[in-house]
Formats: sequence, C-alpha cells, structure tokens
Amino acid sequence: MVFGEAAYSVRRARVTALALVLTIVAAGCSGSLPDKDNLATEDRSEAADSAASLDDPNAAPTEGVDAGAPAPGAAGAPAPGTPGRPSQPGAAGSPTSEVATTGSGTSSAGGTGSTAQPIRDANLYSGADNTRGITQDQIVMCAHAALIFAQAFDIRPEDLNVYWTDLNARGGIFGRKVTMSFEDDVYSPSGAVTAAEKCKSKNPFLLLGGIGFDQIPAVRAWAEANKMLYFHHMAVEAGMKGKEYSFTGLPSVDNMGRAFGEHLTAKYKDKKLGIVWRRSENWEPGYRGGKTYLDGKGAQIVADLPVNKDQSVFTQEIIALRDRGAEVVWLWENALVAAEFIQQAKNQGFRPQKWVVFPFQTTLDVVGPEPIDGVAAWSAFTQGGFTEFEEHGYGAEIARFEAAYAKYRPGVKTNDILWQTWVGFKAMHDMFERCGPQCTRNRMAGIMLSGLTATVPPNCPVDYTRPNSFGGHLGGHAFFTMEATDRNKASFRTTSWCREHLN
Amino acid sequence: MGQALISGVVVGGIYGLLAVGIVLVYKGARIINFAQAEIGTFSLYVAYFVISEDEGLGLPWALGAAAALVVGGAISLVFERLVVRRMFGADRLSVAVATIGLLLLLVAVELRAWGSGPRFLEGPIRGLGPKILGIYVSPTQMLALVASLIIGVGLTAFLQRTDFGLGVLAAAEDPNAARLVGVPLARVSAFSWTIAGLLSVIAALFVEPTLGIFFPGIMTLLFVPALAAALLGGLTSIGGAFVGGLVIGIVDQVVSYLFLGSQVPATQIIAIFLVIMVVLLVRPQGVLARRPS
Repeated sequence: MVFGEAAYSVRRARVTALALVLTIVAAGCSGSLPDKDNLATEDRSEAADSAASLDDPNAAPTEGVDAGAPAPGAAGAPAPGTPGRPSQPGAAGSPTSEVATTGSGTSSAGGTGSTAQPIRDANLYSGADNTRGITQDQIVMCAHAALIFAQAFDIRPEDLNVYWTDLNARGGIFGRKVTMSFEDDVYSPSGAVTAAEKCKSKNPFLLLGGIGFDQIPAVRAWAEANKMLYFHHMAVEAGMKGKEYSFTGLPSVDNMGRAFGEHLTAKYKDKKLGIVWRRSENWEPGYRGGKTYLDGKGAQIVADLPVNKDQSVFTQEIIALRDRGAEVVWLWENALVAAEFIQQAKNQGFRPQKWVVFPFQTTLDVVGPEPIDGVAAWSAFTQGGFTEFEEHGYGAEIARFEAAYAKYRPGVKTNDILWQTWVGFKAMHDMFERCGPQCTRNRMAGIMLSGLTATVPPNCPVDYTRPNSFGGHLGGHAFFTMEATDRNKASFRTTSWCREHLN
Repeated sequence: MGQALISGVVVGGIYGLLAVGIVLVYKGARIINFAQAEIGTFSLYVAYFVISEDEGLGLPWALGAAAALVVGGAISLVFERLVVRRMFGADRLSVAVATIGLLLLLVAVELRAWGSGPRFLEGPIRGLGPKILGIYVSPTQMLALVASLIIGVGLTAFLQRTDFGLGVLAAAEDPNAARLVGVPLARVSAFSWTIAGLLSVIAALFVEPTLGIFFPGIMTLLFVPALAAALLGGLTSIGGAFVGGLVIGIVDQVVSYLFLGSQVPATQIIAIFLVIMVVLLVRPQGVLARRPS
C-alpha cells in the first residue's frame, strides 16, 4: 500500500509505540532479574560455546581500548556479581587480582560487577566538552523517543521520569539531581535527528536513544558527526563499526534474530516453520541471523515471506502460510504489525500452533489469548503478576517500582513499557555510580571501552570484554523467552531469562 | 490465482468506496480532498467508543456506526463551511493544501485523544463466511461489496436523474453559469462534502475488520490506492472510480501473489503506479469516461 508522508510516520510509529521507552536504556539493560545461582549454573554450563557461537567472526574486535583482548579475569572466574558471564576462550583461569572494581561495587542502583581492567578515560572530549551537562549539583540528560505515541499507553514524560524523581528525592547521584528531558522523534530517522539536534541545544551530558530499529542508525551517524555521547536501544551491527561515540548494552538486531532462530530450533524443531519478515535494511540483518541459524540446523521452512514495511493487507501471505501447512510462524515485525497480521490470519481461519513474535503486551491487548511466544532482551511485567516476579527474583524491584509510581504518579497504570524504562534508567544510574563523583564524559565512555562487565538487577549481565562487543560499543548478549498466558487477562510470562543461548 | 482475484475484489471494493468519495468532492469542487480517508479513521474511534465494552459504552454496532456516520459527515460539512466556502475564490491548489491541514489535524486529535495503540472493532456480522476459491470472504466483506455497488449506482442515478444532482454536475462544470441558472452553489458544495465524508466512514467501518486493527492514520494508508482508482475513472466518473477500485485491488493482490517471497521490494506499489502512468498516458479522461468533444 502506499500512503502519504504524514500517515507514513504514523504507521512507523506503531512499532514504536510499543516500546516507546524500552527505549531509553543504553547501558546495559535487558531482561529480568536472574536468579543468580540458577543463572550461573545455567550459563556456565554452556559458557565456552556460547561465547563462540554468538561471536561474529567477521566483527573486528575493535576500535576501542583493549576490546577483543580477553581481559584478565574476564572469564572462568566471573567478576563478583556477574554470574553467568560467559567465558572468554583462552582466558579461563586468569587472575582477577588486578581487576579494578569501580564505584561502590554494589551501587545504590543495585549494580554489581566490575570493569575487567582499570578504567582508562576515553579520549573523546577535552576542556569544557568533557564536563558538559554535569555540574556539582546536576546531571542533564536528554532522550529522543516517540513521545507522540506515548499517549497510547497513557504515558507522559513525567511518567517516564519516575525513576529519576524518586532518586532525586533520595539525594540523587553523589548529590547531583538528574534532569532528564525527552524530544519526540516521531519514530522516523529524520525526526530522530531533529530530536537529537534539539537535545544538543540543551547541552546534555549524554543523549539517550529510544527504541526504533530505523532511527538509531541515523542518530548514530549524527552523534559521530556532532561528537555526542549516545547511549541507544537496539540497532543493526552494520554501521556500528568505527563509531566512537555510540554505545548500547543491548544485543544487536543481528543477534536478536539469531536468538529467535535458536528459540525456534529448540522448541519447534520438528514443526513446519513459516517466516514473515520486514523487508528493510534495519530489520533484515535480524532475519538473516535467524534464517542462517535455522538453515544450519536443518529447519523445515515451508514459507519465507518478506513483507513491506507499510503493508496493510497480508491476505496472500496468510493464505501461503496456511496452504503450505506452516505450524509455527515467526513474525519478524514490530508488535503492532504482528497484531494486525494475527488478526487478519484469524479472519482467514488460520491459527498455527504457535506465533513467535516480539513479546509486547500491546499485541496481546489486541489479539487476546492466542498461542504466542517470543524472545526479548528485557523482562516481562504484568500488573499483579507478583508470584512470577518473585520466582524470577525481581519481586523486590517490582515492589520499589510500584511504590514509586504510587507515590509520584498516583493514578498512572503501570505497564511493561514503564517497567522497561525503570530498569533501563536503573542501569543508567549504575553507570553514573561507577563513573564516580568526578564523572566526566570521557570517563563514562571509558567504563565501557575498558571492558565493563556488570549486572544491574533485574537486567541481564552486560559484558564489554567480548570479542563481539564492538570494542565496548555493544554489551548485551543475553535473552529472555516469554509465552502468552491467559491466567488473568492475556499477558506474557517469562519462561527463561538471561540466557546466551536458547537451544 | 483464483484466491488473489477474490481477495482483489474484496480489497478493491473498499478502494472503490474511498475513490467514489474522492470523485464526488472533485466533481463538486475540483479539488483532491487529502483528508478523505482519515475522516473514516476518526469516525472509527467514535464507533469504537460507542461499541466497545472495555473502553466505551457497550452499545450495539449499529448505534456505533450511526454515531460514526454523524461525526464523519459533520467533520466534512464543518470543514466545507469553515474553510472551503471561505476559499471559494482561491486557487484550487490552496484548498487542496487546506485538506492536508485537515488530515494532519485529524491525526493529531486521534493521537491526543486515543493514543497510537491499536484497537479492534468487530464487523457488523461475525464469522468466517463462505470459502470461495480457497479464501474466506467474510460477511462484512460481502456486505461491503454490496454496499459499494448500491452506493455507486444510487449516487450515479441521483446525480444524473434529479434536478439537484444535475445541479451538482453543472456546478462542477461551470460554477458561475450554474449560479446564473439558479443552482444553489452553497448547498451543492455542502452536499458533496457531506456525502464524501459519509462514504469515508462507510469504507472505514467495512475495511477495519479486514485489516484487523486500526490506529491513527490507518485509512490514509489506503488513500493512494483509492486515488489511483479515482484516476482510473478519470476523477469525474463515479462508476469509473468504483471499477477503478476493483482494478487496483485486483492488481494489488495478483501482483502480491505473483511476487510472494520475491526479493523485489514493493512490487504492488510499483504495479499500481504503472497502472496510473499507463492510464494517464493512454486514456487520461479515465477508463469509463467519454472522450471530451
């Protein structure tokens, strides 16, 4: 279908809306709180091949400080508080005594872990630029996010900022109050660059990038040209190499797709598989990652169907899936298109045994209790699902989250988006704790470039020492799996968490 | 292939309805109303508010549809009164730009009032419907086709066989001459815009169950295929617009079927633009219109 530019923006937003803020993270967020003991057991058992199999052999280990070179103690002996951190081949048994733990080790943000070696400040800024956005009593940050769509979730910027509001009330970070503002990127690359420009005018310490496979690469290029420290959400690896100013703690789109491939192989090995994927340079690497893995495992792919990013009617794709007997369908699309696709499939009487999607509550709100599961890099949240949170070890964090919202934004209905924002900001808070009282922009970048390995519950560990961490620019390698339940209303529950491999 | 044809007819019927609205405004005012489709989206929210048990009043579908029709017609009428009529002497392009303003305003209000989250509205009749050549044609889709036909035929008859209808056509040809012979231009303009708004609402109500969900801007996604359908009809033929809708729908779905899984991107869009180009080059007056003497 075709359409005007205005509607086009709106359409793309759909994605967006989803996770609007899933967004904001940057430094290392992903998932839910691992039960450390279980996680350690689970991941250690597969540590060696996990590091190898997610590694991109073609990825240059880096333009950054020491990345790619296994740091002392980087593996085999995980740094304190980094359970399950995968081994670096060849690094097992390395002494840990020289590893410097920065900050408080266990910060008030709940972070644990260390850098794999002493922090060496990056050499990105000089003079006043190095302390831009940070004073004795304030830290200024700005984020680009699809604010215009936040209304979909009854979310306002004040709602997103509850973590900082709560933190500021408790004294801030080393006495500094955090000022976080948002600029609307309308879920488009050009809109994101415009939002980044507006953020720049506020002289922030750093720029945060909300969810959006399409807009982040554009802002990444902009950040490089404008020397803006940029922490962003998930993006493709293409274009990541050589970037000095951009960082993320989340898996790349490429790795995310591969994780879907692993999940499909593990759970639906003998099923006839259909794949529907977004034809877009910022989505395709994920599809390719998954498809390559599936092909390697001999998966029975009966339909491999690209769709256009603005497509509204999927009748032909649905009929093809049905006629070719697809039993499991992997929808490599955003949550709104997934909802649209599943609804249209219902209209054609097509109900596979399982839909495999990005697990967002938005999808379930539309389609109801359908057989759905998926892979994510963040933890599930359902209002009232405390049993599961306790089981997964993040019940206490949920309680803090709910209490803060009850106190500062009474009347706001908490949801998975706000929860993901909360844990993202918590990881950001931990980064500032590690950066210390004399924090500068060079130091903040240096933390990652020096090989940070950390766990900020309920996020999964991040590890910037990995060969495929792009020299400290990509830190996430762990995933969650979730499935839909209809215990109360249709919602996702976590089925496994913080796993490097899903097969 | 049979499936693609059936699917094309179903989708084309919706394009046809939207195209008829575009043609009606064009005949009456000689402008393209870029907000034509979005009026339908806005009205869907109204219907949703009336029908939904979770977020609305939980009233029957028919009441929701009626409310949507009232609101859709009113938006169009108010726009005609407040903007179009005051721009009577203005360049037609300026009025067309004003309709883009209406489109953006509607999207903004939708986002502000209801957010961008997807919503789902059941069709008037539930169920899969009969399976024709391997594809389920839902009762709503069949109803949409029948409604499109009735509306197309009815409007054509009204315009060609009633004094007021002839006045509409006359005003489109030469407003000054029409005024001199007593055609009430204000009423003609109001009529054209209101009916166009109603058509947009009807199209939206019928197409939404097929799309599965709705959100701000969704009907505007269908505007270009509908405009292509109107162009096929020469922009002035209601029958031509409806036939154009069917042609565009069939082209869309057949190309989609033929290139399923292809690495060539956006084949349907390319095909639709090719159709538009061919028509403009070979038969610019439209497939059903008479060649101007």
